[in-house]
Amino acid sequence: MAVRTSGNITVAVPRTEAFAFVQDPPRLATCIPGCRDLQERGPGRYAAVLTGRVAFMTIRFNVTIEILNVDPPQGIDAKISGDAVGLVGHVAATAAVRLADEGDERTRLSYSTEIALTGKLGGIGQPVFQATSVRLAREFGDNLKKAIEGQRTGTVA
Amino acid sequence: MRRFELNEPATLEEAIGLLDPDDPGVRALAGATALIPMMKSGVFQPTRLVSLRRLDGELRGVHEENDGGLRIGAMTTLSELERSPRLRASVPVITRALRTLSNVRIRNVATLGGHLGHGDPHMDLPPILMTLNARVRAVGPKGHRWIDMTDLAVGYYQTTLERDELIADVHVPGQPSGVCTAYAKFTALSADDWPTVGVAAWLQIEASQITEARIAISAATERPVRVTATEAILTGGPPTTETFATAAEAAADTAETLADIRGSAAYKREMIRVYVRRALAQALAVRDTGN
Amino acid sequence: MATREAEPLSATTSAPIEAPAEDAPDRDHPRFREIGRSIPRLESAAKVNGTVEYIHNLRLPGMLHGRIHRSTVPHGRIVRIDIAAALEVEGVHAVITAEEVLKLVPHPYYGPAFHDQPILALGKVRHVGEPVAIALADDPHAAEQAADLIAVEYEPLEAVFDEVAAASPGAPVIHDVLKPAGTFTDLKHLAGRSGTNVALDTHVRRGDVEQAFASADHVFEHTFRTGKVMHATFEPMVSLAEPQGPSGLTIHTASQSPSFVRSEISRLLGWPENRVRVRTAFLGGGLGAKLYIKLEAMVAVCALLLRKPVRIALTMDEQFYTITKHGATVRMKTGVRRDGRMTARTVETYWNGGAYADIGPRVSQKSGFTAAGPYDIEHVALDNYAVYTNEPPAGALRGFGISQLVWAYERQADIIARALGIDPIEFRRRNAIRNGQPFATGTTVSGLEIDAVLDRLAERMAWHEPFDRGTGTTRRGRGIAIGLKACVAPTSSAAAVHVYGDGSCAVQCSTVDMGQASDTTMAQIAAEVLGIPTTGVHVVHPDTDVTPYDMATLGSRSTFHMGNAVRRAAEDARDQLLRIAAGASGLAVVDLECVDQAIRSKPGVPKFVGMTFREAMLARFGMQAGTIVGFGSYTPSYVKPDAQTGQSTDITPFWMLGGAGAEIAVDCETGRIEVTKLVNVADVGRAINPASVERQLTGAAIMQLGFTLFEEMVFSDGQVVNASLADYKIPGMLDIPQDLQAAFVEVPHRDGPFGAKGVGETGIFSPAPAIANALYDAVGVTTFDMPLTPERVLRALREMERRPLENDR
Repeated sequence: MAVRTSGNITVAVPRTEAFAFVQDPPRLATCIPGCRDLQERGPGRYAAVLTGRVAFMTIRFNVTIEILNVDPPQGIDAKISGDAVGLVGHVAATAAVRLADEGDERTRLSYSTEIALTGKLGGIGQPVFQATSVRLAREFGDNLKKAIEGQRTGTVA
Repeated sequence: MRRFELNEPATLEEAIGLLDPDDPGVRALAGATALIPMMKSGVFQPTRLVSLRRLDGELRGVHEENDGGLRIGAMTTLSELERSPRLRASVPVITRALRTLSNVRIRNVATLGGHLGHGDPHMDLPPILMTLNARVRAVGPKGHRWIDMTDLAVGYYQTTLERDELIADVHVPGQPSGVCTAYAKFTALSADDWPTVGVAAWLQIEASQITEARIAISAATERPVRVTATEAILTGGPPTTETFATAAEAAADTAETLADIRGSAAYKREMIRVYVRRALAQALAVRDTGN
Repeated sequence: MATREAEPLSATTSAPIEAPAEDAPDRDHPRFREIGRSIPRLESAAKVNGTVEYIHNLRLPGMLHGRIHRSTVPHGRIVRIDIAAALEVEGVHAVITAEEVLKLVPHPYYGPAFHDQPILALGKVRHVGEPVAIALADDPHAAEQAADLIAVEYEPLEAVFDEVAAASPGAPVIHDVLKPAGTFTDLKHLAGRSGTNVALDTHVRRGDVEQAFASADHVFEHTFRTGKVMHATFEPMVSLAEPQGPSGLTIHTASQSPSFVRSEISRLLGWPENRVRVRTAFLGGGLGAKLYIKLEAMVAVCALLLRKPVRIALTMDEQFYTITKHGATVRMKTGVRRDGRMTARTVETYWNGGAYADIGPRVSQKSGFTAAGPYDIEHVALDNYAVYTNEPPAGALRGFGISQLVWAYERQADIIARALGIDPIEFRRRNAIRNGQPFATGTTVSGLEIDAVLDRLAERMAWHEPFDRGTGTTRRGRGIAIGLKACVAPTSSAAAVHVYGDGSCAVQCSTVDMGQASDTTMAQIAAEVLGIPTTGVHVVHPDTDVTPYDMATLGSRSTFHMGNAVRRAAEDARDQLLRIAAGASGLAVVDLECVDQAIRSKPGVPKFVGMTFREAMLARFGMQAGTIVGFGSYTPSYVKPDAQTGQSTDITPFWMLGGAGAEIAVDCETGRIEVTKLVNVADVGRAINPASVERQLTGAAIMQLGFTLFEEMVFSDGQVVNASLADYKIPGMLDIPQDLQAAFVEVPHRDGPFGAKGVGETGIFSPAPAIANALYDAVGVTTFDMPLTPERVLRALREMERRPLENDR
């Protein structure tokens, strides 16, 4: 029962610029809710700490992010996997971002993710996770838009 | 289960003082029937629990108010509610619902405050209380405030309560005479399972016309909701099977159901359609039989 | 032929359940004193007031608690195990991984069929939940905290979950090489093989199915599926190992097979069996979960490495990752004559055995050969494949593969009957196999009372009376089914009966009382032989230092095998007492009998005032001293089936037959089925304790009810999504049918003790297809998969009405 979420945003920047942002993991990672401590481990591989907050529960994951496929300026695919800290749980996710022109100065970004929780978390966390994944996806979209457009005007996301 | 600190305050003020507005690792514990399984599975790992078990007195019991309503203390157990003659006389729909709420062992220790404060969308009483226009009195360090039941739950396990607020009591206003109420729930797996969908219906009917309608659904969605689209169709209409069917259709169309073990999102929408109809028919039957 | 009617149980009554009235004296059989009486369990009072022993409550000084760290990937190579953080937790003594295990056990693989299961994952993991490491601490919370802090890095491997896919070429191979265990006679033929996930394939051939299909009037072909479910015993698994001096080990364990645990642990350690002692207490339910090796090897190794007692107890959730029932895909093709006689049947069954074989190969072979059902079908081809997948291991669960097959053949029987316009019970009669006929495996059937079962079913279901199916949104229907099992063979049981210095008696046998009232049954058998009251018999609980070998408490075999052993042991003890009395009285042994707690002369023989057992012991030993030991063992005959054709002239010591009838009400708007009436009819030989037999039948039926209507382990890429009783619901009081009945057919079995046969699983065979057949009867919906959840039923109904329910995006 992997959870699929998707969404899209439109940003007021040309596609090449939007793509440049998206293919730069340190910048992209700042948009993922709860993601911090991004460290490069090798070409296309990064480690990070993902903190998921759901109601009164907080669960931290030590994850590895692997960029699988870079296809400028169309899209990027990534794989995220890791273990929960302090309880037996594992997250395995794939994420895809696709970019399309919307005129010269606008880009439409579509993102989709598929996230599976396993371990103890996978057993009991599903419905809660599902309910919050929509919110998290929306947050990601909002963050991304702000960051890409904010960058253009010189403000830091 | 991780080590945690356990406080056992004697008064409500003391309890509130022990809660922390910023720390999700500090939480109040009443009957513990919801939190302990979460702690055993490791999903919730508190640093400190504030047990309310010593809080008594005004926080327990079903009391009559001057305005004809009831004030129910948050520390009242669900079993006590089930056996309360005052509750049965005023709002028998709650008494009936309690008979099939979970099982008797849970009801013996679970409290009304915990039942509402935990924010689990599967709970049976929130939709009923929403249709009764009940209010919750939340007490915090700055005093108390009223929260309408319709505004209490905001998401899965999330309520509008601040981390340092506790529910002190629940006020159920006096219901107009001739109001008919019902709660219908559907369990897909074992009989004592969490509901796949729960529907509370409240109708005021005068001269073969529904003058006011309140419908709340729970369990199938992220949080219990009043279905305004359905209420709009019912209000002013005749209490007939056709009206009920149209109203139920509207509820199914507007509901954002969550798929899980108990059913796909599509199936839950269909169950909303079926059970809104049934709850309305049940409410009507209650009026007709006076039972 | 004696038949017994059991009182129908009503869920709404609060009066105590009345035991059936005692049998009136039967012309054909002598009146028994103890046999056939519904004697209350010997341990009832102790169970109710909480003084009964369960291994779960055992605490030993200096005991350490172990908590298992489990795999989170379904198939992967172990790259690194980091235990540093775990060792920092206060109270932690050690963290054990396969590396430490190897120091003690150089080849740490166990299993009753294949030695394929490592004590802790070695090199790779093969299912989510596989034990990888154990944290040992002074208290269970510290152990849990430490286990959660162990960090394991995996290199994921391709995984396969479906049994048919796993058996197909190209599927990822889960075990590189298979090593047969050679422990059990019936599994000695297992060959080591490699490059495949099919651990075992077995075949039965009789006649020429292709030719028969070609000349049949109708051919029916369907695929049936059942998923995985879990035992959910009240008491989860628990084992405690305790080093004894420098060279011994005691394992206290909630196990159904203490003798096997001893032999397997001693084999793993390379010790003689006499240095390993295994003891059990009452089990809070077994149901097949607590068999062979579960936690015993882990606690044994940990205890010996740390030289301290070590206890591991699983949570209910962990059991979902430990052992389950086999999911199965059954492809059934049947040729039928226009008069409804089945002439040919092929059954191809893929058994989803999970990552480790456990007893799966026996399930697929021993139950597999009954796949054609209790029917006389001339041309038969049965193929059974025990398949490895990357799901948690599947093993024995009450029914042992039979209910998966009965689901298929009894669903198809009804489909065929309906298609040909034949009454379902009539269809069974027309095709039933009867005593004297050869079974698909060639064995001549005997001791199978199929007509009596069908008669009793028809009667209890008022089958020939009109039935109102209703016209509103609630429709009603009724259905029946019959299922068959062949008791597993060959197996042995041995028992001893002791007479103590004061004449009191004890039974010593390794049959484990897991709630099926075996203590009471064995006491009744011994008491009958010795002429003493059942309540006067002490039953010694299994302890391999004391109680003789028993194959295991499983497969409904104990009443028959151990019952015979206990009977023989009691007869041996009785004969020794008779010889003492003969010596004292001058009478011949044949003129004496044990009756009313004493040895007396038989009627019509010179009067001997008699002597009590105590007086006999006094006569023999000169004072209140000594022991008389009676010994008995029982191993039935058996002929190994041919490897190609599965033919054998003696494939089982007894057949079990269970029929079920169900009346249901289905809510056509929600798809929810309510079983309003459930009748269970069993062919039991003789009910040693009728109340116990009735509870075995209805208890099994209630268990199957859960599997039929809502129990299902849901998987997502090998992860069990509902591994918790909050989401995996089992039947409660409110799910029990208003009208729940058990009836037995008693035709004494030639070889059973006092004619008794096993009955523990009989009630589980047939309720599922009976309910599905009732669903068809009610609304015309044909089902092939279990469970029949409301959503599945509603979707099927709506498909039929051509207004299907939409699917989720």
